[in-house]
Amino acid sequence: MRIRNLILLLLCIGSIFISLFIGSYKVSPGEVLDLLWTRLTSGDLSRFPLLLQTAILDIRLPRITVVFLVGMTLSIAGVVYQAAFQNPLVSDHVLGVSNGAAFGAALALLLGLEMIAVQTLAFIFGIVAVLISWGISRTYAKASNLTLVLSGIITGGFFSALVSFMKSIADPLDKMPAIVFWLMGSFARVSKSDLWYSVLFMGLPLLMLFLVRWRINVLAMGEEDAKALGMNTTQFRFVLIILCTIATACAVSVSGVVAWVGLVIPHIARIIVGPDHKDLVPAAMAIGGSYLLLMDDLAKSITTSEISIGILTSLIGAPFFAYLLRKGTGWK
Amino acid sequence: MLSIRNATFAYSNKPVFEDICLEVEKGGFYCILGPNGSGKTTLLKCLAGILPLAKGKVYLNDTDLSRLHRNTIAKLIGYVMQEQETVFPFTVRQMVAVGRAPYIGLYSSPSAEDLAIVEEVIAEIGLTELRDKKYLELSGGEKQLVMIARVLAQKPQVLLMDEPASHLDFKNQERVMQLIKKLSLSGITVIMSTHFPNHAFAYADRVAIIHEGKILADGPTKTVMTEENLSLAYDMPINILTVKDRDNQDHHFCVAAQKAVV
Repeated sequence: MRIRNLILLLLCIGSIFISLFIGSYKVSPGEVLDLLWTRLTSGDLSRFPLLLQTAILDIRLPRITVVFLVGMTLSIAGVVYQAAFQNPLVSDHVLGVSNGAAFGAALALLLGLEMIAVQTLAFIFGIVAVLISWGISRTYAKASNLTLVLSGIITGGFFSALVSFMKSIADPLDKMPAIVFWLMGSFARVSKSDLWYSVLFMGLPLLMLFLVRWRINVLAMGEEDAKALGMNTTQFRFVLIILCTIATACAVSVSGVVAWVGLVIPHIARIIVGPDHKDLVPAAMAIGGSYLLLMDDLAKSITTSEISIGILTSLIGAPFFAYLLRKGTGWK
Repeated sequence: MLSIRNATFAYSNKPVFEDICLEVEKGGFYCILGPNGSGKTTLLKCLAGILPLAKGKVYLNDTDLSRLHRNTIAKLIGYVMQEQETVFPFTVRQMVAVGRAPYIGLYSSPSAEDLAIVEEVIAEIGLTELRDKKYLELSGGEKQLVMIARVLAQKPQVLLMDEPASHLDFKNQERVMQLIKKLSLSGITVIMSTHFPNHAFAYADRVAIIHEGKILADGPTKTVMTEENLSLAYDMPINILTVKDRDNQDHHFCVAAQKAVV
């Protein structure tokens, strides 16, 4: 148990450490550690080249933080939705958040707005999509988990059609490629200014989900059983969905659509630490964050121009998931 | 102890049961009999606070249950549903620990004290060897025992069991029924629905027969379990046989009186 936690911790530290050296500006580990230590102890930074300071402190550290937060968010949203809907096949985008955010971003790109507007509209429409899913599910006579998932599929399908529509009317020379690249997901445009926004809208919900993590076990027992155990299931599920939606909408708005993380990581984490959310939530955070960080390093380094991380997570995630299913995952 | 007064429940104006009145004594073993669709499960769910009554009240020790928080009800009344349907591979120990949920705060996980109670009930039910096994991989009988262990971890005063023997083989039926009887003798009030009238003969102190959403008969097992009442409830002729065992004890059985169809 202790060793397992230590390995997960080392995975996080290792992936963060490696990510500090990967990029177009080459630095040695000693220099990076020296710089970080000096920065931490508020020492004199003037002996370091300005380019090194910018590369590490203004570009790589913010990017690492944001990537790690996005990886944690997508994985935890997957874990939470799988428990809340009693369904191991759903993931972070089950309620339409990605499609909604994609629509918001495509709309802003089509109108030629600034990057900040692209992010804001993506964030807002991500949340709007989930609210629409929730609203549709309330109109059914018997509102159940299944109707909520179905409503999510309906909303997602609708927004994805709108995105296709925008692509078809966008200028094929500049705006359409911008929309297409945004949809594939990338951290290349992450800057220091994304930091506070990411920490607030991903970090805070993640912290709250971390705190209530054992309770998620009760919800994973199923609706009626959880009620018999004294839980107000409607209220608790609603709070979980709100937290996940805010965090995921923020994640999608800074990175675009990064597929497969929210489905694959919860299963990997469950295989390693088991289904108890007390261990599963931190494990999925550690694995999800590190995984996305390593994928981002790969995206930065395998070709001269950066490739979209969404392509990598799908290329690696899909076959890996097939392999996991072959091994058997323990659930029915 | 538990008093059900004029309880009515309806799904979109179609009543499932109407004007049910029952008085349950502390430490008693109450059996609810009735054909499929008579409203037994719905009644238990209402008592567990899972479904709200349309009309009527349920009092536990003179406290109106509808005034209590669901979490408080879960500390007083435990409910074992017919079939637990989690899809995740929880271990037996993790399943039983979830029974401590009503006592654990929103931001907490089971304390050392909670975990000690979990180990205690696992040992009490005789599941110690299975405690690290996956619940989903257990047999039906073992699963039922795990759910009983979990409900005991809840430390309830009243135990509601929805057809606890319905998916079990003969031996496991007896094992589970004897365990429930033991719990009732230790002071826990048991209300159990069942499809096996013979379980009522063997274990119950009192029986209520529900028929088409109404109480057909209610009282001590012997006065309720008559050929007349059972035939009416199940809408077919039923005979009751009495057999003496080797210790000269009377055992009652009911059998369908119809001739075999050729």
